[in-house]
Amino acid sequence: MTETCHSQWQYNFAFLDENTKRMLRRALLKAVAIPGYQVPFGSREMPLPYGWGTGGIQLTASIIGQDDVLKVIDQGADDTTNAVNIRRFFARVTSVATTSSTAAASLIQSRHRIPETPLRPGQIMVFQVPEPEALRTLEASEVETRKLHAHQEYGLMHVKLYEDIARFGHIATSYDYPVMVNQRYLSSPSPIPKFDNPKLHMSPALLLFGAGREKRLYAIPPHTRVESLAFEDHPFTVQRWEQACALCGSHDSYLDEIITDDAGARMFVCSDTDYCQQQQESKA
Amino acid sequence: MYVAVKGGETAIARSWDLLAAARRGDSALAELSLGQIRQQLRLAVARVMQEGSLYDEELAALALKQAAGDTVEAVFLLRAFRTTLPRFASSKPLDTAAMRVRRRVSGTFKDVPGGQILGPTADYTQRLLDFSLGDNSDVPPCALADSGVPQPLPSVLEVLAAEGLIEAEQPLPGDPEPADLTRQPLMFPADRATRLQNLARADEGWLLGLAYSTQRGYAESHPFAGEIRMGEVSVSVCPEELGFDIDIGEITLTECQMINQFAGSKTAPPQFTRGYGLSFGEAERKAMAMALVDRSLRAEELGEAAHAPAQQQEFVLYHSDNVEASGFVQHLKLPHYVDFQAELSLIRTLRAQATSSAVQEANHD
Amino acid sequence: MLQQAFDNMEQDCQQVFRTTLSALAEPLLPLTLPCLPAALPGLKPATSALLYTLIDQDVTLWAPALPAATLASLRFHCALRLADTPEQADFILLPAGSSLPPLSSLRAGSPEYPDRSTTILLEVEDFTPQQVEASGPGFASPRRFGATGLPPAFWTQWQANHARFPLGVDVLLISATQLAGLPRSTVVQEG
Repeated sequence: MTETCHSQWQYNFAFLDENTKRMLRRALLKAVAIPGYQVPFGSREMPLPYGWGTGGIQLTASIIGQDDVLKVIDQGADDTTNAVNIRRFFARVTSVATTSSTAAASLIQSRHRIPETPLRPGQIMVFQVPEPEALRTLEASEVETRKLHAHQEYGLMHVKLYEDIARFGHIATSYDYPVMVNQRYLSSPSPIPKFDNPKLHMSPALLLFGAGREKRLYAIPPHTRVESLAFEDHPFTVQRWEQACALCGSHDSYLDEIITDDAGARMFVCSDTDYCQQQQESKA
Repeated sequence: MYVAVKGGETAIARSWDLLAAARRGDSALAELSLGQIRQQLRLAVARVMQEGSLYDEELAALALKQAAGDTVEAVFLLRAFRTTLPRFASSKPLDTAAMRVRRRVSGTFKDVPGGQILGPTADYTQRLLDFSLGDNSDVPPCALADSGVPQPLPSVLEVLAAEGLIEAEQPLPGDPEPADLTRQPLMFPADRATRLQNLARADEGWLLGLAYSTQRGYAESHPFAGEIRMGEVSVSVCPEELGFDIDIGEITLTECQMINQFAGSKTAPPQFTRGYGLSFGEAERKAMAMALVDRSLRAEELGEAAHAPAQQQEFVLYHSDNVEASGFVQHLKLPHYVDFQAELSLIRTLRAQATSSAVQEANHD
Repeated sequence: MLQQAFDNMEQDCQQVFRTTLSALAEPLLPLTLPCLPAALPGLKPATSALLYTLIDQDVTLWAPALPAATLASLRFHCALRLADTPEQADFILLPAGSSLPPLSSLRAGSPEYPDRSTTILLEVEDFTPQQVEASGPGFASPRRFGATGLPPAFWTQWQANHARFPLGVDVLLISATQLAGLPRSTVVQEG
């Protein structure tokens, strides 16, 4: 019903209005109090599409302050298109400092990776989560999965993993590998490779998870037990590569495979671009 | 040769330039004004306002222009803007009985109190391309004053209600404040007010397909279009500091009341039941589809078997929002290098295992 | 009559929230609030800061009788809505010296939605590492903690509250300028 066209529209600090931030903040406090439990929240439409990190963006918007130094990564890299877009969004609506250095960041928003550089106390990591419900592929109904969590009834997941073992000889889940948080809630670590799961356990940093489209958020406080599901005779293992990173020579980082010519030649490089650069510089 | 992934920022800036150029098209042609879009693409504007949950024709026209006519993208733009708007007040419930009706039709009786009012509709046109519109056409003047429509226009369903043949529509005990899906997450089981809110914001195509499925045997609905009315309705608010209602303007609405056969249950006699649809602007297809889906979602409440997709709350309501659906379907365009690498390693391992066990079996034979 | 809230509501609320988030993430580690508003009559400055940060028209607060000036300021700055009883409230405010409603009577959430539970803002005199040893999520190793001015038998009630995990209430312990978080996940041993 307005006739003006808002050509000089001024957005609030971090885009969200203060009421929305308070709603998110109250939900975050409950999430921290109940580690791994999915708190429903009144997710808003953000200027990036659902599925492209709106949950993470809303969490970041509700916690970010002028003194923060923000790092945004997608697939471990700071300069993938979506990471660039999200970082520019926050630079535009908050004017906070941004960085690609894991060590220099106070706040790290990520899609699909945890940096190789160990997180430190006081840092907050925000994960973008497409599907917060670890049981969703096994049970489509939210009413039913809520009941399963209420009763800590996770047999479905154990059966699924056991069937993998019976069929393949090992658990055939390579990313978004389910974890038990604080020995109570089965949780999705977001689609990080299982290579990153051990970094969740007793992390010194606060880990926050936001699913905008599904309107759920959850948290893993620092120094919290996080166990990847496994069986006694089939312990949890992570990915290993025969190759070292072709750029920095690292043997202990998660590697991306890159096809380099039409004949299918390939090379392996660190997915964490900041880590790779640190390694290259320390050798130079 | 391996090309470093650096350079994302520059590539993104170039893609913006290309997008802007493609939106504008040939600059030798006149640029669309928002006024033109509002006036000449009014149904697109209405759909963007409806699914964008924001009644603002100017902003909806801007969204359509910016989205180059992509309705779902325009809805998304409007919703994202809506997020930033502070909330000053809640309006009083709209009174559609007091609508200044421009169109009202019913499929149930040949004549109804107040008459069938056709209004501006394409229903009775022959869908032949009108080549005269290809040139700048002058529309012959049209007598707009429709002084014959009584106001308020009696509702068709009141006739049935007076005989007790259709279920009464009563507020819930205590008339609780409905949930606000723009501020609260959808929770299950969802009550009817919440479901209607979700359906009102739902993608028209999704509702249309579901509604159609209920007519083709996936739910037993037996619907009749009891009444469809379109026109202008006043919006009023009652600011706490004033303590009385003030009129803040009027909006165009389309309302559909479907009538459905109901054989009765243990607690209710055989009677007609209702399905309800309401939409901003002139949007009959949307309002009718919404009314059909509203009725099918009442299956459980009315003691009907609920095995069709259109009767299942979680299925219908969780997948109705085109901003959510569009985002998530299209997020597959984003890089998934890390997860794909993990799957690649896994598939290679599984293949190696399958090959070696096949070799072992062959050796045993 | 109205008290001034924060100098910069948006930035100061963010700062106070971050401290609160840290306080619950690493429980029973007293943190000093980075900014404080003028104290509301009858409340500590840190309590006023938390109320401005957490309360708005979407939640209800229960408190024992508060000075009229405090209520007026909270209505103005936070659109405060008071709950009729502690059992209904989203937040419970207990100024120093108030009696503690039985924790077991307060909203503890449901098995499906344990987050629908009360948060208590509990004023104490000061923090002292003398009373209990605590552990759980957020503790790299067990931590000693204590607070003077806690309601009698608080820790006994707390043990019962923790025993219902994941149901339960969460507490923010507040001194004049400091804050310590006590989420339901924290295990406490007296002595």
